[in-house]
Amino acid sequence: MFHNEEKIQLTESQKTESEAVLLEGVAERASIFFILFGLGSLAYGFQTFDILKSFNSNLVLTDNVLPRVFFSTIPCFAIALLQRKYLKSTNVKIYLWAIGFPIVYTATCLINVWPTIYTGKLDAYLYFHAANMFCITLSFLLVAPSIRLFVLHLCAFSVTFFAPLFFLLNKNGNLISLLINDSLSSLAISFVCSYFLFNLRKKIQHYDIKFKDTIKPFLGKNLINAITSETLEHLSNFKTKGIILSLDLRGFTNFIKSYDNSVTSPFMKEYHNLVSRTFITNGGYLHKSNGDGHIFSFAVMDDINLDDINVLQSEVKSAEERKIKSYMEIIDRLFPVFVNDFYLLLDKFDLPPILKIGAGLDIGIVKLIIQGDIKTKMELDIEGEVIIRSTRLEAYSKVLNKVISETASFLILTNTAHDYFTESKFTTWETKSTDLSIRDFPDIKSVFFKAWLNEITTKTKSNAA
Amino acid sequence: MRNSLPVLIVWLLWIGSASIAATPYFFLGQDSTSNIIKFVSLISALPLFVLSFVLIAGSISTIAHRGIVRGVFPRKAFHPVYFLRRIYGGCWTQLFYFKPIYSIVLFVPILKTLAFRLFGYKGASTNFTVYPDTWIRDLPMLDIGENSYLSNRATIGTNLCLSDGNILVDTVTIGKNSLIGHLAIIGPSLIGENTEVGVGAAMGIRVRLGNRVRISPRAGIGHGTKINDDTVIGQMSHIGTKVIIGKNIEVPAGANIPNGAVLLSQEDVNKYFSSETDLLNQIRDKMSSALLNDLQDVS
Repeated sequence: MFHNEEKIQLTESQKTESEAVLLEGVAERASIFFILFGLGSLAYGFQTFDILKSFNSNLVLTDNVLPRVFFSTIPCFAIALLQRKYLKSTNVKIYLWAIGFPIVYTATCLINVWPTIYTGKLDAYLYFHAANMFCITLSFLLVAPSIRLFVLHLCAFSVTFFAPLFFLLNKNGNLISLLINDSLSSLAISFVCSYFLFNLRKKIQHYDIKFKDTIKPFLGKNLINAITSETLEHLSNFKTKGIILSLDLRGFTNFIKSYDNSVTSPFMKEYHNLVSRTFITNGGYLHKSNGDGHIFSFAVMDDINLDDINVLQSEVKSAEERKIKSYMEIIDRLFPVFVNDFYLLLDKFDLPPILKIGAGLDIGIVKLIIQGDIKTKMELDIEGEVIIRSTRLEAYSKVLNKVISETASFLILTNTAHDYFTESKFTTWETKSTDLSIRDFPDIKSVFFKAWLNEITTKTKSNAA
Repeated sequence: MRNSLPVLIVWLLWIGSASIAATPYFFLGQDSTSNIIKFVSLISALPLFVLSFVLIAGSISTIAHRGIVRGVFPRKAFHPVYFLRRIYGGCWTQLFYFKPIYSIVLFVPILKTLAFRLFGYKGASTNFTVYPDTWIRDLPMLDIGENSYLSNRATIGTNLCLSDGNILVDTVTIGKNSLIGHLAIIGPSLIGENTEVGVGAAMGIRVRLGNRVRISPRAGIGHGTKINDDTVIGQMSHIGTKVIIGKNIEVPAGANIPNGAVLLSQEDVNKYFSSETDLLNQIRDKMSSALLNDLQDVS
């Protein structure tokens, strides 16, 4: 399924990460194999009793079962336990399988089977040959190691299992050829299959890494960190005081209707770039982007929760207030630059001042939530009245566009938010009459705003005229 | 009854280790006519004591691992979590303060791995440098990256006693190739890779340092502060609580960054620094003019 796909290019660190994950998978499967073999070996003690008894009439059941428990089942379980619970180094876990399993397997063979063959009853081997081939093939197939580990595992088997077995069977040429033929064919099949499986896993892993890399810009570093460090639950239900900035393009519908896609598409691409460049690089976190609208938070996603430490609360409160103030200063500094860059963008695309910025800004308690259905889609979201208030303020710029200026861009904020702007001058606007009130928030009697007229485009147009 | 548990732990640990160490001599050496056997059984007592001390202390601690969890807990002897912490702490401090044994444990890699794993260390590797007088405890809460260096007399504080009678327990994660300097004190925090916390620096609770950050000697970093990649904090600087410092920024030596400051560019830092210098200059001018006036009055 991956043959026609383009080869995925990974950086060195990504390759190392991919290798580590693949090896962890090998170690995980090796531990499962040890558990299965431990159980199988115990059952095999009962199963082979009758066969072995036909060669050795003095054999009792416990002589065939108990040694298998001590030399095969318990060591296998112990190794699996070590691999799963105690050992941290993936390499050690893998070497335990690659070298340890052939040793355990040979120890199992030494329980009644090889001693019977050694006494000259070579025919006994015929009853165990298939089981040998099956176990060795299964070890390679289930674990599906890399070529290097395959070779190591094979070498360990050659030294501990094949070499002594050749020595035991050397009196019977037919058995030797049976062993060689079957071993070669089963090992060849195992090699091809495990190589294919390992490479398939490798490719899936590469796709996974590349996928994560691709989604990084969309999710943002906080969410990616939370997902990759599996601390998503720490993000949820976390409350903090933050700033919410809602942005929208006024006149967007007219713009879309008046211009074709060859203008609107590149313009919107550059506009989104401008928004990201301006706010994300200055501490903003983009929560929602929908067409021409954006919702940013400041001082929320980079906040570190110290709410559980009561003795720090007064210090934390003052720090949070200061942080809000610091971000407000940043927004105050950024916004005129952003509007100016937007007007320059309009000018670049030779557009009349039909588009302008409408922005609403407010401060309040924001709660981080993870919502959605776990089977379909989960989403990290924010909630709080402040978000609705901010979007309503942004929508209120339509009113100001009608009443004050049709071509100006507006930043509108509540009294609470205004208190944090100590250096900048804002204009007060009374929302006296019902038709001038803010939707859903009739109790907000006044807001503050700042307006920026589009002098760049107007000047260019008049010069051109 | 439950208060007798520490006595039982200590008794088990010391008497158990001593008994194991003495076993070869009592069973082989004492009645043997061979001097070699007597000698071997006697000198084997020392490594046996070391090994059994580590094994017994670590094994007892495993029953308390489930009490080594993140959170704020009352410092009450029989609180379910604190009680388990006492058992764990008892086992760990018996080993930690028994410096000859602890130094052997840290010196021999296999013993170090054995001891750390038994005490619940879950990090990927034990291939990092830690000295016998580097304060660490709550090993399940630690994750120290490969080749990191924790200098002697540094304090890696996974637990903090709070003045309201509670105890805060949280994780300390140190990235690969990072360095914690001599006498540095760090609270529960997240430290990136190739990062240096200088000599005598102090870091509060839940500080996050990015990769390749350098905290110069004797700087103080407040609680909940986040310092991004490649940033340098000058020596003896004070960074307040919940400060955000962006990437690749140099905070000058002796800087005083107040609580909640957001410094996303070098200009932001310079602004803070110059405004503080201006303030100090104003105070100096005021004081010197007042002094001059006084002198004129006297003359």
